[in-house]
Amino acid sequence: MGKEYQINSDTILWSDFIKGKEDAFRIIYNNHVHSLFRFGCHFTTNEALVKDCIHDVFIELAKYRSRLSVTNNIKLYLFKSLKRKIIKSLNVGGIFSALDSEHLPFHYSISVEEELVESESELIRYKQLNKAMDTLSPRQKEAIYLKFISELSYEEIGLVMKLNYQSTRNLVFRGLEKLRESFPNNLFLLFLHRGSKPRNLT
Amino acid sequence: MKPSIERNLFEFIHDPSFIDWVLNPTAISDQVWEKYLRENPTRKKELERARFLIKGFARNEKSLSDKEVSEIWDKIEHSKNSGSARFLKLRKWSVAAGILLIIGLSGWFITRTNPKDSISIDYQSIAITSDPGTDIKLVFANHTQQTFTSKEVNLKYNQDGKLEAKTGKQVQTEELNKSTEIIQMNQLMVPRGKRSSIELADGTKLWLNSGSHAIYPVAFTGKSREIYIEGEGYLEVAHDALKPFFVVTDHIKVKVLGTKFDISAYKDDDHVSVVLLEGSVQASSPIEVQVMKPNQILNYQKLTKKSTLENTNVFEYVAWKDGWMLCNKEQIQSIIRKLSRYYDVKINYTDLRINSMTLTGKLDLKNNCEDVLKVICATAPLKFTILNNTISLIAKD
Repeated sequence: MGKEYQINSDTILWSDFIKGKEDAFRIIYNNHVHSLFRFGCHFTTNEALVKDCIHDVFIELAKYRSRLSVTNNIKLYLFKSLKRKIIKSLNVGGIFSALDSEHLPFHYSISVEEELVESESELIRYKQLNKAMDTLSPRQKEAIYLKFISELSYEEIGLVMKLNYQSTRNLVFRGLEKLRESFPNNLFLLFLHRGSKPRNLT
Repeated sequence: MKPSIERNLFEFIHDPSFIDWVLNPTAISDQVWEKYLRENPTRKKELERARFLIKGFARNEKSLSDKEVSEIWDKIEHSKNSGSARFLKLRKWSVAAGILLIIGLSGWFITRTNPKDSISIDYQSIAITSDPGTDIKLVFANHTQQTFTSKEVNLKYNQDGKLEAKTGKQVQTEELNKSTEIIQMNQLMVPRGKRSSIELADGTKLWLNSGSHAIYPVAFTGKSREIYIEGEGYLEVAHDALKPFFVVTDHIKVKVLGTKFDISAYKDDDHVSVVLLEGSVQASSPIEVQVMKPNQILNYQKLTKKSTLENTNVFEYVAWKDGWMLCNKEQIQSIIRKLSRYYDVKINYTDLRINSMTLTGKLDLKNNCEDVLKVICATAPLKFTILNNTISLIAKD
């Protein structure tokens, strides 16, 4: 055995899709619709618009399927495509004039809904984190989101945000630094052992 | 990824396995990270901060209901077929607000079905190490256990998430928690004196010899397939060129695409051996990689970490799965070690002349231990006595 070649599953799925296999199209949709929707909802609160854009992304895929080139990264392709569609739709609506990738809003706040926290102190810390989030620029938020929630690599984030590798890394690291500064030292007592009940010491 | 020693906040949150743990903790990942904290108590603060950040980042995510997912799909199908995509505007979407975090996160993990190429699981921390006792034990992902008192059990994992356990003529079916979000590991522990077989979800067949322990996923969802074996197992791996199959032991790791081979990695042996019947496998130790051809045996010495490769009669090594033991100039010493594992008995001898004796022939392990020893003693100049469950072997003068 000489050199090893590993075929990427995205490459196969994509080429099946280009060849016209309906299953492949459906699989691509199912695999990505959730993360696309979540990503899209950070640019606008209009969920129907995000759904429309996802619809358009897939329609375009189907329409141009025979002309599409080979890709081994479907997720990246779809993220880029959805962002383009959203910018276009927001501009058509006339809410923003000449909105571009650089000046797009990115709504990203930490939920401080009480039913979702384990303790009062955790809620306070989320409120503090949320405040710190507000001090980030929309691009910093977007880069952090793509890195840690969408789990894209720095190269991929750069392609979605039209930035080079170094600027992408800087965005993420500066953003994180700001968030870290906001941590009060004495408030870190998260419960690592979930479900372990405090013992009664009487 | 196995947590490394010194880490700061940034390193934690750049580790995908850390993110997976925070957003989707499992019994296994809890153990891995709790162990990390025990060993690195000074990192606790940084780890907690990182965990808090990631949890915070994921808190406010919107989610689509199954209904919405199929609504969008139906509209895509409709537009696609009508050919006027651009002009068919989507009017009204049913609003599904309010179902926030929980469903959102689970949906997220269900769609993320591309775990990293090489799984890196810390088997040492998952393995149930309590004394296996005398019964075959099956441990489920949630740590519940089932014991089988029979001599042998045959498990079959179906792709639809069902487990069939066959003992003799009895078949018992178990509905497994079919969650695609986490890798669910089961463990089968076969004590000395018993044997078992497992048909894994991909169709791979695994026979486990006495005194062995296997850890394997209920379904193979990643880009590769991986199981762990301590002891001896014979495998017929279902061919899938796109999903290589790895057998991990404490010392060496074997990579296969589809093949038949035997691997013996007992803790109390000074070596690990791999015997290849068909196909091709690649065995890697910490210092080298060996590619094996059919009819070869690879012996890895634990002490020197060196391995040797030679041709052999491979059927000798796998006959155990059909209840035979083939010996070809095999040392009595080695036969005795195998028999004591197989029958769970202690066999002693003090006469060092026995060390130089070898045996050639076929032993029928479907007989009881005493009968097998009678055959050996009729062949070689030996006799045996049984006292309190311990067998003593004596050389005849």
